[in-house]
Amino acid sequence: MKFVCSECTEPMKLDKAGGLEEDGTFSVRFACPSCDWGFVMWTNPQETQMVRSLGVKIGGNTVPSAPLETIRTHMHGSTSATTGSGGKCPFSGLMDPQD
Amino acid sequence: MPELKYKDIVGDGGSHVLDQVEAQQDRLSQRLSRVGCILGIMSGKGGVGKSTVTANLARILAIRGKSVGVLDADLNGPSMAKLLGVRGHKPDVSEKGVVPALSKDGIRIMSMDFFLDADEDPLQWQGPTSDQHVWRGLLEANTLRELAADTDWGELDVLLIDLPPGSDRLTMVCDTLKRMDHLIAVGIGSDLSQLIVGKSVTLARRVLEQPLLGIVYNMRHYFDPATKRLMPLFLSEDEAKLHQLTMLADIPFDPRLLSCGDQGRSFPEEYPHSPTSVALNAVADQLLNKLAAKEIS
Repeated sequence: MKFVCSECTEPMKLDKAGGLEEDGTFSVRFACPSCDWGFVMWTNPQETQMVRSLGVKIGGNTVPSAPLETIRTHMHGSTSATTGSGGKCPFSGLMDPQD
Repeated sequence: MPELKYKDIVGDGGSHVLDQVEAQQDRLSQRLSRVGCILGIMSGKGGVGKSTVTANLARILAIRGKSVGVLDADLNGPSMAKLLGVRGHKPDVSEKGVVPALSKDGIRIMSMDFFLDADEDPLQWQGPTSDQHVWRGLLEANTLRELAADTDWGELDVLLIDLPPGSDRLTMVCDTLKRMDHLIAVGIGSDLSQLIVGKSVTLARRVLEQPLLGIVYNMRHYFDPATKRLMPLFLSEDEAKLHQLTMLADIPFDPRLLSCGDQGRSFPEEYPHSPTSVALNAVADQLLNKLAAKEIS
């Protein structure tokens, strides 16, 4: 999905990605690099999940994905592992608490 | 409205999604570059014994001295860990990747079974509880890619892929792995099997253009160890002829095969001269002949 400023015909640049809300919604602000006109795109829980399911990160991925990142972050039962409490996920020790 | 087309717009605003997807593909292709042959065991139909064929073919190839891996592509009904006697394995991570389970006969195995806590636990994902059909397929394809790409398979002569039932799953697995050197179809010869397996064979041959090594008949006969006689079980029309496939072997059902599988023991090692082991060896022979002749991979 790409966005173009209708006034300047410039591709919109990602300005700021919001955090994942409790209800699964997500927001991303895009701004035109020429005129600075901006808008915020909201995704509903299914749309957010669909993008996450692809294993890509909105806003870019600065570091390579960790091994089996999808399983660790999406599989039911891995939540406790991410807090380092030694849950079901065998990768609990590898998880970055900030993840 | 500007008269632009999608491809005219440079970049995606800063997420570089395409680059991320390409990085995923590079990681997968790099990992699989050390695998000599990727062989999918498919059917389209459930309950024909393709997992049993996969596990025992893997064992025979290992007995023959080949380095063998098994990727359990049936994420929702994983059976390879049990059949190969490695349930309870907890994958660790080394510098080279995720360490697969190692069977007693040296087969490297990766399966979702290792990530499920209890026997009765189904595979469940975190996410919106309603309308899961919107994203579940994507998530499972991505999970399969990770299992293939992040596992430290090392150098393998053959990586066997145990496919889930359903012709749509065949497409998903082939699309996700981007590489499938050959496929073997498994059928039981019944009219119903012919009907369902035929759809996957057509898909594999015409749509996916995957080379089919042939078909393995399973359980058309029953071998009675007491009387040492072969009795008809699902004996029916010639499925190989119907689908214009090479018949690789006709594997009789042997109740000892079932008990070995249930206990994770090696049937080909324990009963090397049984008609079932002889038939399984015939499949391995034909695969290895093809590999030796460099007709595949």
